[in-house]
Amino acid sequence: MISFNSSLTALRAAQIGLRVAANNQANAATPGYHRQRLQLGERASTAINGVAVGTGVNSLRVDRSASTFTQYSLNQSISQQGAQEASLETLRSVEGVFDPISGGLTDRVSQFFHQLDQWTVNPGDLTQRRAVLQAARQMTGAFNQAADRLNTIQSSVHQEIQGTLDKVKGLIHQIAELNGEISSSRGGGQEPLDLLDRRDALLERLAEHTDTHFPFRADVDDVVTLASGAVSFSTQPIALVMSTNSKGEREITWQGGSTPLEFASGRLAGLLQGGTNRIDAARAQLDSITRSLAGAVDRMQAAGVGLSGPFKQLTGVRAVTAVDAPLNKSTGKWPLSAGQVTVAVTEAASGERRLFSIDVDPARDTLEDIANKLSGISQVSATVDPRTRQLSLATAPGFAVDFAGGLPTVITRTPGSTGTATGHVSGRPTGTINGEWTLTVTQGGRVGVDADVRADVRDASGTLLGTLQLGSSYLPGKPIVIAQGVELQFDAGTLVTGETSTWDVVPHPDEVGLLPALGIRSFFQGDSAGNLAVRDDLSDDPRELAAGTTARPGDNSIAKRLAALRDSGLPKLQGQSAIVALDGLTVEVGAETAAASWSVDQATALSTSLRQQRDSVSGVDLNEELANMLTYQRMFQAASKFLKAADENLQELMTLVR
Amino acid sequence: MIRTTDLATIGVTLEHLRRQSVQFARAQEQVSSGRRVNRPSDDPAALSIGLRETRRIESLEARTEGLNQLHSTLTHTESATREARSVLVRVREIALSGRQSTEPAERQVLAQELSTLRERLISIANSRHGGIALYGGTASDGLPFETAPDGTVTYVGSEEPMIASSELGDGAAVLPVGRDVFQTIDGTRVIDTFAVIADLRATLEAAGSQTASVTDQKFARSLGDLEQLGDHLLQSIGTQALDLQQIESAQTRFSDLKLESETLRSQALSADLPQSIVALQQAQTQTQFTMASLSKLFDTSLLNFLA
Repeated sequence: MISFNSSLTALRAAQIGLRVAANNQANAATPGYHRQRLQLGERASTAINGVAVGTGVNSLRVDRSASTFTQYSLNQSISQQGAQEASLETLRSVEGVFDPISGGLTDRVSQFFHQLDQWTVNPGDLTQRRAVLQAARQMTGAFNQAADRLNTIQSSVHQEIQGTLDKVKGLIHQIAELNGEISSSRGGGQEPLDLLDRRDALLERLAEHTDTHFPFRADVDDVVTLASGAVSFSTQPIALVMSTNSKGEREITWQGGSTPLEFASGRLAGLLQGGTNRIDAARAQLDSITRSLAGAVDRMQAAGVGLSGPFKQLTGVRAVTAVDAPLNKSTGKWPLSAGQVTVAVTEAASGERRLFSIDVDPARDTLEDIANKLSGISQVSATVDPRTRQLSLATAPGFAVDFAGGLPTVITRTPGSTGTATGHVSGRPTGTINGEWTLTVTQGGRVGVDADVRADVRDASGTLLGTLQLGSSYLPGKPIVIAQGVELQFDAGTLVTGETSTWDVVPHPDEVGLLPALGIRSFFQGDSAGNLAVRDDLSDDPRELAAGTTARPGDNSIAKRLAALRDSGLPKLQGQSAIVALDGLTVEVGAETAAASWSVDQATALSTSLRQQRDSVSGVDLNEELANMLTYQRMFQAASKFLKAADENLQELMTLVR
Repeated sequence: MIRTTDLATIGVTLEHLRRQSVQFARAQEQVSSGRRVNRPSDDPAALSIGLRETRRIESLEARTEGLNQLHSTLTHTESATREARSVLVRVREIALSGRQSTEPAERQVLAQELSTLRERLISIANSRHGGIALYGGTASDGLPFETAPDGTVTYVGSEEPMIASSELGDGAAVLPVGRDVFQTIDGTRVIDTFAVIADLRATLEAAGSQTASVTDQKFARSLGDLEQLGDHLLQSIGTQALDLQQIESAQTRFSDLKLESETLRSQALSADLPQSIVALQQAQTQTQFTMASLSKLFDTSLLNFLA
């Protein structure tokens, strides 16, 4: 009867083997499915007449073909790939914001400078002035649009973070639930292969979103750790929560914990670190370029006057954060340095223009202090509106102010001088230092008449700049070039030996950077890419655009300096021009995107390779399963044949007994 | 031994097809756009070169356009100055004729012609081009020379010339100061074109009532002044011609530089079309091979041999 039993075990094993093969074939395309194998074992032999005879085959168990090491490596790779893909998606979006090939921001900036170039040729032309303002509006619009797009990308990233977090929470729930079921099954002595497959698939999906560690060992509790091991769970899910910190950054914490979780890999890491960091950096760079360009343009614009001439009333368009705080704290976005600000006051009736300077120490002076100092200038009153925190200036009737610096119209003679010749200075100072120049008559006489009439001119440091011959070779009233763009002329009259005259020479009227910081006579309003705009009053009246330091329509001195900004390096941009800095930002984002794309390709290739390795162990090969099917089929047929043979043998014996 | 499964084979094939699609699309994009770099990440280094050259080209174009306008303005100024010089030549001829003439009627006719020529000169001195006064310096809006009721002509323009951009070096005046053009200085004496012509006319008109020697002295002085004014205008024409020459030279230089930059930009950013087409063909062939080999792989299966 042993023979029957042996055949029976073989028939049973073959049946199970066929079922396993059928199941493998059925799941050949099921994601996460691990092929199953029937483990057979030889049954213990028995002694028949002292001879050990086999008793058949045991179907020991059905197990999964799984390589835990490969699966672990694959999860790590998928996690890295997830981080890099998320980072790349953000970078591609940011790249689009600065893409110069499709035009946009750099084109608009270039167009602005193009119009400024055209303006230098005909600075008084109103049509050209309107063209400059239109180009400026388009440029500020492009800056605004770039900032808006970055904000939109940031919002999308935040939504993506929330969506990914929701998926992570869902997966954590499912895995915790499965862990419970697996534990119960194992307690009942069964290895739940299908549940293990499902959990592996879920862990793989979880790894795509966050760094995930799982022991993959049967002898260790099913504990899953996340966020570099900061949190873990087994059969009880954990709750992750997204919040916004004081800097406006998104953070993820687990309920019950206060420290933000740091994800080493997975999409969450790519979105939280790679994505938002890149957007923040791009926005900061864009704002820096915006402020540098606007600041430089505003500084030049403030140093000029429009076609209507000096101003009777001015109001700053940029507010400080506090009127009683030192300027370097209250105008944080506009860095200031200690120095002088020069105000020119012109009397309308006489045309006399005088220069007055105030000392400004941004570390000490508040906006109120500045207003008080300005109010100390004759014919000028300055006020601070506590509501808007902006500075306003007004002049007494019959007077006007400007910030063009340069030269006064008259020179101050030594009190008590008896000479009758009146001196006038003119020209445009080109020097680098503001200061008082002094003329000393070294040989007196009648200007333009006596043979030898001479005067020395020295700068504030006492350096001799030139000796003027004002005798018979000089035509009274004709300007003589002294130095650094400054000219002097004397009317007919007398000069007395030893008498002196002084006047201020101010090539840099705003050493502090105060005027752009307060938005006084600025070109733009706003202080970042998102809110930069052309001043409303300029848009309304192009005549107020300053092309020069005088109101003469052909004065293009400021327009030329503005146009030269196209190629001029700006200190806050490491000596690059604004447009080159924008190009640099474009190339930088492009290089980062290219590097991220390369990393994604590498990670994808590694994941593909590891998946191939995993599948070479766990995957279903249909040919192999068909071969197994044939094997078990043959085994079944053989066992049946044996049963038939054994049965015939027994029938033969029965015949003998009868 | 590595086991190969159907799922793994399909997965690998799909991955290859995806990559080939990317290559195929990139080659197609290059062929259709004519650009090798279609987004910054395609080749950041090449883009950097391309952008640098683009900025140079933009700068050169803007400067060239500005130069073209300057050239136009200065050509008109030079032309007007030449015309002024021609007028002065005629005035000098009249002065010579008047000096030799003994006929009061002839002198009267000459005096009338002088008036016309003076008006012509005032008109030239107040010439405008593109809405701006050519001889007003930076005061380019109004008339730089005003005629008083007594006929005196006064310069009311700016004492400061409008200076061209730095392309032409320092001091290239686009709009010169009219006083410097129509006045010259002899030692400490100012010689004014309009005053000289007015004096000459007065001399012609008063010739009959003055002694011959006084009249001749006045003619001689006028002729001397006209000579100096003529030379001065010639100098102005020379300066303006030199500025024009500088502008033309700068235009040529900018044109050469622009061409050079365009070549460099094209090398950096433009697609090498034959290369792109070959890449396109390769990507297409590769894709076809991938799909054909997959089909071939699945042709041979144990399924086909089972009864």
